[in-house]
Amino acid sequence: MSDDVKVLNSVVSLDYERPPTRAARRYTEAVGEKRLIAHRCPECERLYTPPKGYCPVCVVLTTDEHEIEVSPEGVLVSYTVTNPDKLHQQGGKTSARGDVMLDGTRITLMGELDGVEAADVHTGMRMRAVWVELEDGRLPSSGGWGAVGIKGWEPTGEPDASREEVQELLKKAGES
Amino acid sequence: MPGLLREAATRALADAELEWSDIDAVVFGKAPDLFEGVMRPELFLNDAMGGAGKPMFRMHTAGSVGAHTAIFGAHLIESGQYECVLSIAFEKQSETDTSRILGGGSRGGAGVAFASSIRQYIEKSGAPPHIGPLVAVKDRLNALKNPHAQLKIPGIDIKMVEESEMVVEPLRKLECCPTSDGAGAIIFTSEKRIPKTERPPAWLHGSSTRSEASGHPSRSWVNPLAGQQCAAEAYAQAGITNPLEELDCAEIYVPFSWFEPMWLENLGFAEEGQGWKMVDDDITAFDGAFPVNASGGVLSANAIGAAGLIRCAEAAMQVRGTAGEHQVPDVRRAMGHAFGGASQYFAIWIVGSEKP
Repeated sequence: MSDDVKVLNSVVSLDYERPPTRAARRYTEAVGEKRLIAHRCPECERLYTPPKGYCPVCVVLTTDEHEIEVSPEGVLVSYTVTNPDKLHQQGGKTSARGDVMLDGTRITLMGELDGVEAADVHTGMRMRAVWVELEDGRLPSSGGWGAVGIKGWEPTGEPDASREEVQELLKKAGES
Repeated sequence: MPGLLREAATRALADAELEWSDIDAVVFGKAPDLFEGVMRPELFLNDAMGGAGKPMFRMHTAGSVGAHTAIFGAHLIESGQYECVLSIAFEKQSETDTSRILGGGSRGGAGVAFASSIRQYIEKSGAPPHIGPLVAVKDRLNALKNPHAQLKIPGIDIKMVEESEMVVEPLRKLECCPTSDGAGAIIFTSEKRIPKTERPPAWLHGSSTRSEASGHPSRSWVNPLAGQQCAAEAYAQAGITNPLEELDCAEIYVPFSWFEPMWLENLGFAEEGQGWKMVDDDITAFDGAFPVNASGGVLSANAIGAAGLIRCAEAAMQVRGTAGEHQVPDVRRAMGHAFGGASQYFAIWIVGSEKP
């Protein structure tokens, strides 16, 4: 950028509170206990985590009776390593982020990859959730795109899923 | 902002040899307001768009909004409500810092999510790593022929792309779109109000828009169902059964190199997992059998809200034979396409040189 261009950073902050839905409250309580819950739509059987309290595809309500626990572990099916722009993302550091498909589901959740060097990240790794710590029983605010209540993922150390298994999982993810 | 819009609208009117007074209604599109930090800018921009006193509509579908703005303008004519409509879209990314908004801070944003879906594509299809750089070189070479392309890199080659800085793996800097300021405008008329210019009009043969929920747990970012359905509807309207044979070129929304092979599959130009082979075989090159983004595409100018409308306008210019140096020979039918949000909004139109 040339010298005659000045960048003015004027970041504003806006705090607000919103009352949680019942589904969101139960999800938050579960996160506090390091458990992951989902709602299973009674019509199409799609799983939603965090639960929405409805299935937007079938347009039906879901309640506690549709709540099930899902494994907070899965397989890394995709990832990227980000190299933040020094101008726009001050304080940003090189980090790996990836999509983990939860065991026994078609849910992929994105998050930062912890406990592994960016250069060593590869698809097929077995990962488990790194949980967000609740503050006064609440989820701290978060920006960006990613899972709710899960800070990121760390390797479990178990043997990798094979390339064929990863391709199979990705195929399953896209089936509507 | 008013200047950008005024320039686009004035040029469109000059091309159609029409006056502001000929316009019955205005359709306005841009990506989310926070990109410029101005809430509902259409309210103060309306007079710059020639909309004072006229019906005016605002479209909102994130990055695909320009194509929706074009298609909605056409709908207003098709419905019989109006005889002459101006669709206009813009983005002025230099007005504020969209990198902060789209970058998503330390949690990662648009680039991270798209890079991750690109790796899913590579994993699924087994595409070799040079495909992304090939698309980047092709679009950047095309940009050299387009006076409205903004990022021009004479002498661009694979080596230059492969040696550029890694931004979000596997995307290098020259495989990413720039941030841009820009605007575009298209004028629609009913059949009885076709302007009497020497330059022929483009005819709308088919159009479609679709959306899907971003939180849909079984959706694919690699081959989204909404994109497939959007293409199928546009083809059905245009009477197309083999798009690769029956279309002559396409302007597809490719903000990152690898979206070209992904969308070639999503839009039915290639079988699933085979899109990268069309790139590898130079079929989508300017002198290939099916040129994609002869204008240089979004990789060469990405005024986000305008980019989809410009894809539609470029397709129209190709069938009108007015694309200048980047004119593909003998184009009878062409596609304009855009997607937006978390790969969840789609808009496609098919235009032709002949009345359908």
